[in-house]
Amino acid sequence: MTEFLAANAPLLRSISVLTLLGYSVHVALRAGVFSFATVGFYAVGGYLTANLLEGGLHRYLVLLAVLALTGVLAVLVTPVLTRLRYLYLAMATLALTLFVQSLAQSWPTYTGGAQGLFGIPRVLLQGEMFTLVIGVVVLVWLTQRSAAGRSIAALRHDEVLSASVGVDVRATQARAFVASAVIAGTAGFVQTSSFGVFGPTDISFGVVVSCLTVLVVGGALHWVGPLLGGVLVAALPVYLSAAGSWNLILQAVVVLVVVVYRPDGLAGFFSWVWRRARRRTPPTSAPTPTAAATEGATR
Amino acid sequence: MSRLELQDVRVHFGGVKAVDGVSFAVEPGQLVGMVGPNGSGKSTTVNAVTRTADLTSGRITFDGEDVSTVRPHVLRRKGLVRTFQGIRLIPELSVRDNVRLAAEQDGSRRRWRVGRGEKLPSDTACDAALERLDLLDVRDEAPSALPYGTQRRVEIARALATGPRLLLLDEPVAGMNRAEREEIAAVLTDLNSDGLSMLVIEHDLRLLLALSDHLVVLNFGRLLAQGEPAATAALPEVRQAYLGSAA
Repeated sequence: MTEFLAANAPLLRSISVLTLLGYSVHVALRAGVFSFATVGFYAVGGYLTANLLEGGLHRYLVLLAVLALTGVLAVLVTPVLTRLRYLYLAMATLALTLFVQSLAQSWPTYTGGAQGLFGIPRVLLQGEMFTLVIGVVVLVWLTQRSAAGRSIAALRHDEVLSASVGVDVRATQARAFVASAVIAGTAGFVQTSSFGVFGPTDISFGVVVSCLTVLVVGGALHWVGPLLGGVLVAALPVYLSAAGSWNLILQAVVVLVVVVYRPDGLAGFFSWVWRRARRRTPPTSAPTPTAAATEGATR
Repeated sequence: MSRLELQDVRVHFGGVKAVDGVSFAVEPGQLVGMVGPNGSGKSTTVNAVTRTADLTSGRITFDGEDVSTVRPHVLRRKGLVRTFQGIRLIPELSVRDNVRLAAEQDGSRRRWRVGRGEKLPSDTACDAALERLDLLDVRDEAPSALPYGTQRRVEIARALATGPRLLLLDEPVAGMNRAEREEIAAVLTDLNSDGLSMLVIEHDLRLLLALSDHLVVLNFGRLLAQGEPAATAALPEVRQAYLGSAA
């Protein structure tokens, strides 16, 4: 196990970063916000981590600073974003990312400009990285099973209905957007403190596409979707590298197959397999008359 | 003080006067029926009350408080709750979660406020609403797996779970067979006898005559008549507008 973890360390780092980015988009999307701002907050987290680690700050304090800054920035922009809907909202979040990208280019003292930042201390331990990813997955899972999760589901399906039953539409969307920003910032922290580099290629439009691919392949609205998508999207280029120049084509084919045959992604596919398996499994024993009577009484 | 009062309410969409100077009141414990032909402004009036449609002019008060400009979710927290003309259930939530969603929007969901092993107030309200609408047997089902009439009952249970002081029901028996209508009518009578104020929009005039204490008739967005149900329904102008004949 230890050997596997050591041998696949770069892949596991990529999986972690892509998974966190996927959850960032997922959390906003579940509340009906199609957010491209993930990459912008990822950049904020990445550059802040680089500067603070080079300044000698402990990684835990750096993580706290990243969470605080991305959270505060998200709170500042939510009053504008929660007034927008549909395509306009998506465009506003894209504009936010473009703004951060241009700021990164024009602020070389802190971002390294077009070169990016190199030689940043790689201080994040593998166990800490897994803890962060698992922590986010568990939080998302718990939230979706909670009252907040029900409010978010209602909001995504029907804003008018959710408001009529008491869901504060703007506040719920704002909270989801802030959570999305904080998760994206955490992805930036993981990227920089584990790879030791952060630059313009990490926040290019290609990363936006990767985030969306993670969601589409994994299952955009299922709580485990971004994790499955992160694993597949990060692992495919590695395991298909033997195909040489066919690598990219094969990746595209895999993505297309998932999109065409399983629009609910791998999570939807596994759910379907699980449901079928449960239907086919015969009961282990016939219910006793007492048990049947008890069940009837409680229904 | 009236539970709900509309004063010269107007809702215009450009040149279309969907609601044009409507005034009426729902008193505490009263069941008010609202009828009118299609397009007469019934649903828009309810939309205006629940802030789904913006008022062009006029004033709406709830227990004496002006609610003409408050946001929709605030109305539910004040006790003004509605159901919709079309069924609007959340497909990915079970029947119980659809109802619980409404019950838990008052802060009572915070588990640390209740002792270990105790039931949350929202869960108690949810289960009571399910029981009242005879939905306990299907509480774990997906809404889409249920017959139309049962889905309607889930909508009413969801509204009830909020502990409303005024319930606005937009065509609660639309699409139901006679047995289901009678069942819902019995539930509404029961709720009203418990003191719950209600405003019920319905095309079924016979049902409203049996249930309501006061009848409001709209036509072309204007108030055509209002008063004691049987006397109001018998007015020639109401018969003309609603039945197409004064005979």
